[in-house]
This record gives sequence, structure tokens and C-alpha cells, in this order.
Amino acid sequence: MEHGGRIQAQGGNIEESESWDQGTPLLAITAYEYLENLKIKIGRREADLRSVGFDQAARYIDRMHARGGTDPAPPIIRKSYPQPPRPDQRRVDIEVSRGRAFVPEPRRETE
Amino acid sequence: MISHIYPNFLEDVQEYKASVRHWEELWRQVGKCELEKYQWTYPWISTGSPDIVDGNPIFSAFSPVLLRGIRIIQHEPTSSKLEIQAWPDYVGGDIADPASIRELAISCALSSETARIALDLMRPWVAGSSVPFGVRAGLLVPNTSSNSVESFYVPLEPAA
Repeated sequence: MEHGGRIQAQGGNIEESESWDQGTPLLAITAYEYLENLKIKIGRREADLRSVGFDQAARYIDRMHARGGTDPAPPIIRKSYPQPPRPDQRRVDIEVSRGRAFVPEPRRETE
Repeated sequence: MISHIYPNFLEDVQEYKASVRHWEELWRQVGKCELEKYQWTYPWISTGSPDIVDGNPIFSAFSPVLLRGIRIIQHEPTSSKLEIQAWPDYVGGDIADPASIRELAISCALSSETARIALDLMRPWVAGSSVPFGVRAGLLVPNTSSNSVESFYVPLEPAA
């Protein structure tokens, strides 16, 4: 597929991810859902330990969303949060390996 | 006490550009022979757009021959101590995927000490070797008894 990537929670003996592999760019709203899904997957305690990482990852998605998504044909995008990292390396990683991501929802046609 | 280099790089565009040049110059010290042999190229990874200058990453490189990558993240210093972490990761898949790229990720506040440690980590990595290291007396030093990349954290003051 043309657009692919994943959002991961790693470190602290945890490796969970939400990935996409699809024909259309990933919507920002779907990326936010992936972040929430990851929090559920890893459990409240681990999610709380990564709260700054999740917040920073969401802010990055916000920023990309506000500018219309990631660039049309960039190389791979990799982001690790939080920065500075936690001493125990609990983190949230964003990877866009193909295509575009974090784009706004398409406007609906109005009469 | 560590003397950090370009500590305001996220607020000062000139410091940011200087940081990028600093890492590029460090990269050239890795070893011309290995860089050519394994066709290492940089940059490899994007921050998402040229206007995103957050140091995450500030430098990256890729070898299609080794299927290996390097990602350097620079963050602002939070203390006067040595601040550096490194960990292994996979790009484009997991450990079971033969097409995935094995990555050495390094996150640090830039100083001459962390640059030296990063260089010590990068040199074997670009040559296709494992990254041996250990922490002794608060300093990160080569550890030839280790044969794999391990994550580590060095919150210690450098040894006197």
C-alpha cells in the first residue's frame, strides 16, 4: 500500500503498536485514536508513566495536522517521545515509513 | 560538570544549524573507508518537514548494504551532567522481518563528552559490527566482552 507506518509504545519490557498500511493518507483523527488504543493496550500504569511521551506525540500530530499532514514525499519519519527521554527508556515512537500521515479529514461536500 | 554545546539550539536557528554541522563533522570522523564500503548516506530520516527543527532527529544515516541506520536525537540539556541514552530499534518492521532496518538510536544533550561517546558507538555500527560498551566508574567505555547492543543510561558525572 502507498501509506504505512506505526505508533509504538516501547521500553519497560513493553512493545505494543498500532500500525497502518492503506491506500489513503492516515487521518490525524485516526492517529489520535491509535494513541488512545495504545494506552489501553499497555494499561493505565504504563500509560501514566508515558504520559509526557503521549502528550508530546499528540502535539507532533497536532502540528502536522495543522499544516495539512506530513510532506507528500518525505523520506522515513521517526520520532521518539518524550524528549528528553526518560531514564528507564519508556517511550512512544512514531514511524511513517511510506506516504503521508496526520492529514485533516476531507471536507464534506455541501449543497 | 559538563559544558554543553549549543544548549539553546531549539530557540536559536543559528545554534540549530551549527548543531547539525557539528553532527555532520562528527560523522566524517567515523571512517571514510567504512562509509564508502557500506554505502552509508545521510540524511535518512525526516523530522516530518524541513520547517520542523526539533532535533528529533538532528542527524541520521542509512546503509542499504548493511540494512542499518543511525538516528541521533539532540535535546536541550536538563542539568550540568552527562545526558545520553542509546538503544537498538527496528525500522519498517520488527526483529522477525528480514526487510526491516536495524537502527542505532542515540539521544543526548550535545557536549564534547556525549559527542565522543556517540562516535564510539557509531564507529563499530557503521562497520557492521555490534556496539560493545559498558559503564565503568561513570564513564562509558568500550567493552569488548559484550557482543550486542544494549540500551543504557548514563546519569552520572564523568569520572575525575
